[in-house]
Amino acid sequence: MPAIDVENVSYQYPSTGFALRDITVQISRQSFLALIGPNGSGKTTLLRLLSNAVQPHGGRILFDGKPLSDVPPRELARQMAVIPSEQYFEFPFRVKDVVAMGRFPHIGRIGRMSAQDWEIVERALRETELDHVKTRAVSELSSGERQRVLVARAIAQSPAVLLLDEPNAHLDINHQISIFRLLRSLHEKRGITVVVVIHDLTAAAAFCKSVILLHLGKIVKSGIPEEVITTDMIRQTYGADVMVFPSPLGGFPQVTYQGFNREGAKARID
Amino acid sequence: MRRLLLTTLLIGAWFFSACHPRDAGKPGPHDTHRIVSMAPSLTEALFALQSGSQVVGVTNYCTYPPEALQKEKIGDFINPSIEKIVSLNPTLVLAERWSSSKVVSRLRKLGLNVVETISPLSLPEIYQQIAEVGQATGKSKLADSLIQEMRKQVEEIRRRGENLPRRPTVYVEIDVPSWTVGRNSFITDAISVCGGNNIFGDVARPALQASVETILDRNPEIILTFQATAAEIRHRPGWSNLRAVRNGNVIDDLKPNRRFNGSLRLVEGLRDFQERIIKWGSLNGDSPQLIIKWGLKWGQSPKINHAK
Amino acid sequence: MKSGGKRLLALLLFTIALAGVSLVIGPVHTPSAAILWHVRLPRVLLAILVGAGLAGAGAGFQGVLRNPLADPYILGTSSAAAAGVMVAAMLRIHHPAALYLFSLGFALLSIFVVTRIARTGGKTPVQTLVLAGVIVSLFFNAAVFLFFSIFYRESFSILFFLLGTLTEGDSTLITISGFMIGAGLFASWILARELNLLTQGEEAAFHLGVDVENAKRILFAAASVMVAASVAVAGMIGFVGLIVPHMMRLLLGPDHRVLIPASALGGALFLIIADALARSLAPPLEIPVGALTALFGSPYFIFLLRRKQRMGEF
Repeated sequence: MPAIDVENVSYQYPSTGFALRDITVQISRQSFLALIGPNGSGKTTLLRLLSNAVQPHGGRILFDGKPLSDVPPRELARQMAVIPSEQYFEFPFRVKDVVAMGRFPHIGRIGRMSAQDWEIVERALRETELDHVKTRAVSELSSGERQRVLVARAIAQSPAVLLLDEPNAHLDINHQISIFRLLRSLHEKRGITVVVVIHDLTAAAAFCKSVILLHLGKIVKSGIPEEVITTDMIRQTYGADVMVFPSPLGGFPQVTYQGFNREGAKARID
Repeated sequence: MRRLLLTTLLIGAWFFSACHPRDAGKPGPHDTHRIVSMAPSLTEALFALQSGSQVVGVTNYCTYPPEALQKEKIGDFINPSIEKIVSLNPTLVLAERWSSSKVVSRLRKLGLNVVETISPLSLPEIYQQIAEVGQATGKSKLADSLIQEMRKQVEEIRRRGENLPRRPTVYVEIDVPSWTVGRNSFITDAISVCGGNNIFGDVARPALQASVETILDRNPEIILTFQATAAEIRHRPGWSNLRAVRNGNVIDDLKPNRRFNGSLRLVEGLRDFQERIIKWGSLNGDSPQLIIKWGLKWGQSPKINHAK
Repeated sequence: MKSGGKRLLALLLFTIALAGVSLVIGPVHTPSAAILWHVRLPRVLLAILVGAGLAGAGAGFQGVLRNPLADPYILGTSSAAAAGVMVAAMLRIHHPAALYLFSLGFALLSIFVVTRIARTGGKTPVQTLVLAGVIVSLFFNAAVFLFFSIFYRESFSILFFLLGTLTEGDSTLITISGFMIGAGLFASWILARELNLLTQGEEAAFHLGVDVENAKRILFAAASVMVAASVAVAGMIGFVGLIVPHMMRLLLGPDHRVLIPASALGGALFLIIADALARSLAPPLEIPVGALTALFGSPYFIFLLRRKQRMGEF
């Protein structure tokens, strides 16, 4: 049974009209899926629909066979964690206290954190390389460290499904790679389903098992990276003058584009 | 558009005429005055000085004499209707001098003849106010004789007060909670004339909000209350042990809008209050002979509120 | 958490000690039993209750709205509750139940209106919410002053009610307010973990398993109950709900399981001191304690605002 079943879903904004039109997609367990598409294609809206943050205006979304909107927030949070692209921390909670918030769906309003709960928190801190700052106030951290705190908090939820919106927006290339390696290893070791909205097409191709390309609120193509991320598809949807060729390191698609050479002339690509 | 123009013209014309002194604004012969009074005590003085028929406007709080109720209302002194005052076309506006108020200067800018009197803080200043009203209305002689009469009666009361065997301590509550008067109020002066001592006579202000524990600590023998009733005073937590409450000397029927105000009628209020003090003295064991000697008619005295 | 418990206990003991000491502070140097029993004790009790209520409500508002500048005074809840009290007085309903019903009704109404005005596209951004609070506060202040200018002849004690004072000695009112504030604090404390999660943002809290709308409703209601109960007995005492939770956050950290009780105790402490000052600064005059807290609170608010500006967070 698929983890998330999206059936003929539409969503529209009151002012700008349809963001998504008649989307049908099945996200099975064990998938590691990238949602790509140009700005305004509806990929973030689709992620918000999947996370139950907004409700579709047409069609329905099933989670483990049940209507997603019927799942109580706490029960859903035990199954699904969401990592936003950024979060503003107003109050100076310690890093480990923020990560421990991930245990809320398991312990509830007045339950106590058990030794096992703290062990899960500690492990999440280690996995995200936050061990050394765990007693610092989260408001004092760098933006890259704060992004990892959000990942650690989600991991501490022990979810079956992990949804991410632009997780690498604030990360340098080293941390971008380490986040995706971590996601991939969580996926491999614990069988966590991952759905990630991503702009970096090369990263999508390098780390994800499948890709959905959205354009103007519709799914243009879905499949393995090699099928979706092609020179033609990207030029068609993004309208960008790019070229896709297999990476010398692993054969997955890699995107490059026309720039300027030393003399200021356009470098030629076809 | 035409209507707007017309309105603008009308307002302009009014403004022009209002800004310039008119005949009506000039002081005319005294007996043809059209007077607006801006305070209850001024209204009372005007009627006492037989200028009542010339009064065309009074404040909402001018309730004495009853004829005053028939006059046009202009609001209160702090926030009067300037329009209304102007529409009454007065030749004389009488107001008490309040440094914080801009009403008088506004009325003067509109070309009105405004006479400011003293805002009395003591008995002599009450006399002075009456004299000033007399001067403004050309009734100085009448005012002088009224003042002389009032002064005579007050001095009589004062003499009696000074002869009292003991002076009671008095707490005056002009408003809840615990608003009272200090040294700079004619009420403190009046209490003193009657033979009592204001427990807050040491505070150099006209009015103050006294701390409740100070009132309990100073333990007044008589309470004079203008807003709260005697029953309300008795039921306040901690007040039941006050000497005034225990002995039933809480007076709540001498309201300022009746006789305890800064006008000629104050004499009546003083007489009443002194009677209460004498009764207080007799309840405390002073001999009834003394009271007879002071020549008071017991039959006419109002009832005292006894604590129940 | 453990050190938080210890510090809370220390704060509790300090508050009790200070309450005791404050009983001997006042304009009368050798107070009689009646003064101690009927004047000072009710005042100290009232300072504890109202301080705890306002600071507890402030901590709740700041958490739900993710804004350390939120306060019942700034959001207009206090003004609304005061307008409720004025309406009850205007209608000459003197029954205590009516007093509390009106002040609570108006407080809830103001919260409803403020969150409604501020709600755009299914979300309640903090900036618009605080702005809405200011607008609603201005509206109810205007209503209060309208009532005041029409009815002030009745009694100008209302003016001092508006400035806030702890002179109410009616034991029935003190008891009712005590129960309401206790209930409000308890409800806020029970939801402390949800409050912690709400500080991460409503959507984050939702994804962490919080029933956001429900939690917000309870927390807003609890805060409104505390504000209404405080205003009904003591008028508008401002800035306690702003200063105290902020200071407690500096001292004990942002965890609401500690912060809610700490704010309650800190608020009690703060008002005990402020009221001791109010009654003994200029004897035998009574200074409205609300004027003192505002005098201290406004510069503190500006200090907070400037600090946030410097840190580039505003």
